[in-house]
Amino acid sequence: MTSATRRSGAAATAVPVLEISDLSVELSIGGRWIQALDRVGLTIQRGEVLGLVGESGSGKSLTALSIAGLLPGNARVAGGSIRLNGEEVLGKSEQALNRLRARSVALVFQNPTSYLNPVLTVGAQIAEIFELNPELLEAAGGRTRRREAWRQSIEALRLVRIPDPERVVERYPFELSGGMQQRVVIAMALVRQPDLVIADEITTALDVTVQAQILSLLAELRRTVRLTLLLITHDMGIVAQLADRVVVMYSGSVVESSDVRTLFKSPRHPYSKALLETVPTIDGGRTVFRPIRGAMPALTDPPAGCRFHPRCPDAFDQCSRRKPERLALDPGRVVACHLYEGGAVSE
Amino acid sequence: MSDDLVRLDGVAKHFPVGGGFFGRTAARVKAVDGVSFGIREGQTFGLVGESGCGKSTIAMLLVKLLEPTAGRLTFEGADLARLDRGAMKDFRRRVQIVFQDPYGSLDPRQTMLKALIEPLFTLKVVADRAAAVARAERALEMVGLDREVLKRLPHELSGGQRQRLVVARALAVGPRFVILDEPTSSVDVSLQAQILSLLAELKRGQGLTYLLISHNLVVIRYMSDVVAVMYLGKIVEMASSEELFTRPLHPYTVALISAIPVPDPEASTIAALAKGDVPSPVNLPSGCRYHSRCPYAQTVCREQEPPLRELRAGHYGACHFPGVAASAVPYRPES
Repeated sequence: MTSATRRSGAAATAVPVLEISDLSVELSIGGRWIQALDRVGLTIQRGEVLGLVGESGSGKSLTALSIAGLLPGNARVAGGSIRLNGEEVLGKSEQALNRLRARSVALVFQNPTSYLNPVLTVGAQIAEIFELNPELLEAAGGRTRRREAWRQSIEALRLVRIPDPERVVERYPFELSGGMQQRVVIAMALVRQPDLVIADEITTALDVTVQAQILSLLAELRRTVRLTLLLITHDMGIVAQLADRVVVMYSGSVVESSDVRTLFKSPRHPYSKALLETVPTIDGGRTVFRPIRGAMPALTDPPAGCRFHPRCPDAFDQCSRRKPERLALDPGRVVACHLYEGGAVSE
Repeated sequence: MSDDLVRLDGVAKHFPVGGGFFGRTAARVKAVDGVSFGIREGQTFGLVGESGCGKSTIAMLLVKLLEPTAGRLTFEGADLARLDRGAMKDFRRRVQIVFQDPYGSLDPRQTMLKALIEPLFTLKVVADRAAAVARAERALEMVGLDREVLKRLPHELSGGQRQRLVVARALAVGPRFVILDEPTSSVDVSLQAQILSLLAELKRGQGLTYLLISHNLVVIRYMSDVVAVMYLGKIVEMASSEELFTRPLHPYTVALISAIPVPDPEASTIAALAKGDVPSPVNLPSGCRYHSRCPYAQTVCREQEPPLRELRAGHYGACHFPGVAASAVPYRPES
């Protein structure tokens, strides 16, 4: 079952920063356990940006929360494994998870105000991270730890291109705009020098010109600090511009994973194709974009077989009967679709 | 122009802020500050801008949920400030608005049938219940919803169904002019395409005129005939959609267009051409309102406010150096 995923990952020699395999998560809804993630698999190498795309309800945020051990109370892991730098995360004690969250994984969410403490200055919030993780402070060089923490907080703000960081460090979150707040949250994520940053729809709440600033900041950080990033978004444009590889999710399953150029040039799964076609562009002339018929099924009442089949233009009898297995089509490309079973179909 | 279905002439809306203990006004937010444009019958007029630019205030003024501080709004040639009782009722029926959040536009305890037929009675579109139900069902059919949803409550519908339902409710009364305020920003991408196609189809089928308000340039581009770009209460550029997107002259429009991540890994990278954030509308920058973010700003931009003038045939812009950013428009290959 997992041979396909294994094979595709075999080319990489180093231990991946993140390796999720066959992760299944269930949610308790109305007293019943509903399958929310179905054998999700993905791998991120050091310095790589992996775009995780899908519509709301596809399971991308649930996947992110699983990595950080932050699943909501009504969720449970039903199987699979999550390895960070080769170390299994699932089944760890709360204490071990806390250490892991402090050192290895940083999360940045859509809404920075809910993440920042409204009664502490920006500087106090960043300095707190150094206080909790003294090993992060470089040799203090005569300065007191406190002053060194403050100095490095200012440096962190400078890294995320906040103008006038010496003044911003004294400000409270409400005194900053949404874009500035999001930069502060990114700075807070980076000071811990995490192995992996998970960014969940971080520009969705921002204005377009500010979104462009944050995206170009991420592109820059990718070069300067070799950011390893799990980039969760519904925007195929953002994925195209920032990601090295893409994982497409639909209704709790990975339907296709591929490097970004291959996916945009020749998407294989009908859902990936449809998703790319729903993106209108403003290239010369009007682009007619084809809507996907129907809507994503409710998790409580999923269709039998392939969950995309009721909306799929290419569905045939197999599709409603059983779930498609993952197939390694080309090197680095995995697709879960009956169309490609037997490997006969090619573009 | 007299053949405009809707017109705004020098419209302004200022809000007092920081009203002190004795109701003193500490400052005024110039949400809309001298806006003029006309919408012709059958057109889709796109109004685009970032948060705080005043685009939604214009929507509220056009449906008379707000009264202007200055200027004149007309519909079918009649001044909105001077509608008598009868004309007002007629106006309410002929001008409809669809808000961004369909959940917030529906009473959580009201069935969809009730939501659909209530305005029909209020606006005296129908005389009896049978006619109302028939009309509601016809509206549902127009938006592609099954009549089975009539029994449901808002929370029992999906996001896409709710959005369709509020469109159906607006259309059920038989409007001539529909204001769409961010009609797809609360739905997923695959549904966005569905809703936009539906709106385009309804416009053709029902002979409607649209004012489409959105922060999403791609949506504006796809739907609109004419586009106006707003920044801090003013129109900075206005032209036909084709002209505006292929030959933008205002640096702000260029910044907006180039801020869109191109869904092609081979194409240009993201360009952040506007510096910093939108300033607070309470404390407007001197001169050109965009100068604080404009990479091309000169001394004159800080001192004098550029008027909106015709720069090319039918293409209006408010900039001291129109076209200065033209070379920054990222090349977008024909797909």
